[in-house]
Amino acid sequence: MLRIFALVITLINMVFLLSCASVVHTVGVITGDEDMQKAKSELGPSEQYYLGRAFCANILSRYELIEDKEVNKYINNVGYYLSLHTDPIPEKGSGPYKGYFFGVFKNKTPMAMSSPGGFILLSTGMMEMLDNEDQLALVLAHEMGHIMWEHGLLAIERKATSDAMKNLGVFVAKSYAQTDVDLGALAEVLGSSVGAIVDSSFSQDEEIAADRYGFEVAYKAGYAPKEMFKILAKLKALPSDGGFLSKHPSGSERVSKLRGISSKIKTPRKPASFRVSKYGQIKKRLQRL
Amino acid sequence: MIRNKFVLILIIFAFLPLEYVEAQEENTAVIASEKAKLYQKPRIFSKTVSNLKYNDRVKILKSRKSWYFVSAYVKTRWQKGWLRKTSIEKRPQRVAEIGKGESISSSYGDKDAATAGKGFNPDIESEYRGKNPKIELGYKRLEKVERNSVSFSEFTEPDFVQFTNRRKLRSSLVSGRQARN
Repeated sequence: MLRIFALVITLINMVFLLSCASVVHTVGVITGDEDMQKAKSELGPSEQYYLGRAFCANILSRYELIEDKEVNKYINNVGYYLSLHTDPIPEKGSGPYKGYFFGVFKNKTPMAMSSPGGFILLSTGMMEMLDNEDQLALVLAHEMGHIMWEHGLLAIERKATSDAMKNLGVFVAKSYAQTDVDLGALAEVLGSSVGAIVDSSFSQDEEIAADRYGFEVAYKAGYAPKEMFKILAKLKALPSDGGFLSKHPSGSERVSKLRGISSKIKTPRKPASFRVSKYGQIKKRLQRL
Repeated sequence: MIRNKFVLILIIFAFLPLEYVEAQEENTAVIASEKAKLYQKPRIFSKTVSNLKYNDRVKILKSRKSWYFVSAYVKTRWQKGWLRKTSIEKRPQRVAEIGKGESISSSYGDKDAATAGKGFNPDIESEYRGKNPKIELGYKRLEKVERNSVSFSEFTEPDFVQFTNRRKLRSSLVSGRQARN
C-alpha cells in the first residue's frame, strides 16, 4: 500500500509543475475502466485530505514557508471569510474535510496551487503581482473553484499520454478496490514519462468554471469581482514561460464569459480604500522578509 | 425468456425489506467534514443545536439557498436543525437502522470513520514519512500552515462584523443577495 501511496504522490508532484496546480482527487478515470470509476467514487473526504497533505508536504519540502504571523493571519482571515460564502457543486459533493488552509511560500514566480483537502498556497511572486485584497480574494476563490470542481483529477487524465500512464491509472484504481498489485515495474516506466506529464495545464473550460466559481464567491462576499479582469490582464502580460496561469488558455474567452456574468449583476465598482491599503501593508511586509 | 426475467425481478422486489425500499426514497446524507454544527437557524452565527462529526447520518427535510434543514440522530434521539450544504454529502442509507441506534458502518470503510479510506490515512502517511526523510521538512511546514488556519471558534460574529465593516463589504450572509447564473 505504501508503494502505491508513494507512486501517487510522485504522480501528483509532476502535476504540481503545472502553472496553476490544482491537484488530484485520485488517479482514477484515466481509461474509463470500471475499477477506476469505482475508485473515484470511493475516495472519501478524509482520504482526499491525507492525499492533499502529502501533496503539499512535497511542495513545502522544496519551497520555504512564510512564517510571518501577520501575513498568515491576514491571508487566513480573508480565506476563511470567503469560505463562508462557498456552496458545493451539486454533482461533486461537499466542501473540504477540515475546511480550507492558506499559506504563502517563497518564490518570485507568480504561482497559486490548490489540492484536495482544501490546501491553497500562493507564492510571494503572486502576492507581489496583485494590487489589492479583492484581487487576492478572487485568486483564492478561483482556487476554491478548482478544489470544488475536482479539476486535478481531470488534469491527470490529460497527462495520460502513454500506455504506462494508463496502466498506472488502472493499477492504482485497482488498489482502491483492494486488489493486490505490484507497481514496482510501473514506477520505473513512470520516470521516463515525466516530460510528457509536466507540460500541460487545465483546459479552458476548467479555467472558466473556476473563474466563474471564484467570481461568484467573491461577489457574494462583497468584493469587487470585476477586479478579475485586471488579474487576467496581468497574467496576459507575463512572460510566456513564467508561472501561474501562464500556460492557461488565452484570456479572451475567459474575459468574455466573465463579462457575461458580470453584466447580469450589480457588482461593487472598485475596492474600498481599506482593502487596498491593508493589502499594500502586507505586500511591504513580504518584501522585507 | 423475457417473461421469466420479469417474474424474477418481481420476486426479488417482493422479498426486499420494505424499510430498505423506503429508505432509498428518503433524502439521506452523511456529514462529509470532520466536524459540523447543527444550527437553530439557517445563518452562520445562529445558536448551535448540536455538534455532528464525520460520517454521522442525517435526513434532509428541506433546502434553502446554502442550507439544508435536516434531522440528525444524535446520541439517543433525533434532532432537527440547519446544516451548511458544504458539510454534507448525499448518499443512500438504511434509515431504519439509525432510528434503532445501531452502529452504522462507514461508507468509506468500516474502520475508524475519521481514518476511513483504502489508500490515504494517518497510518499510511506515517509510514510514508518514515521512509522518505526528505519529505519530513515539508510536513513540518504543512503543520504550521494548518496551525495558522482560522477556525470557526476564532472567527466569531463580532469578528465577522468588524471584518466586513472595516472593509465596507456587503456580504450575502447579511444582505441575502446571491450571484446569478
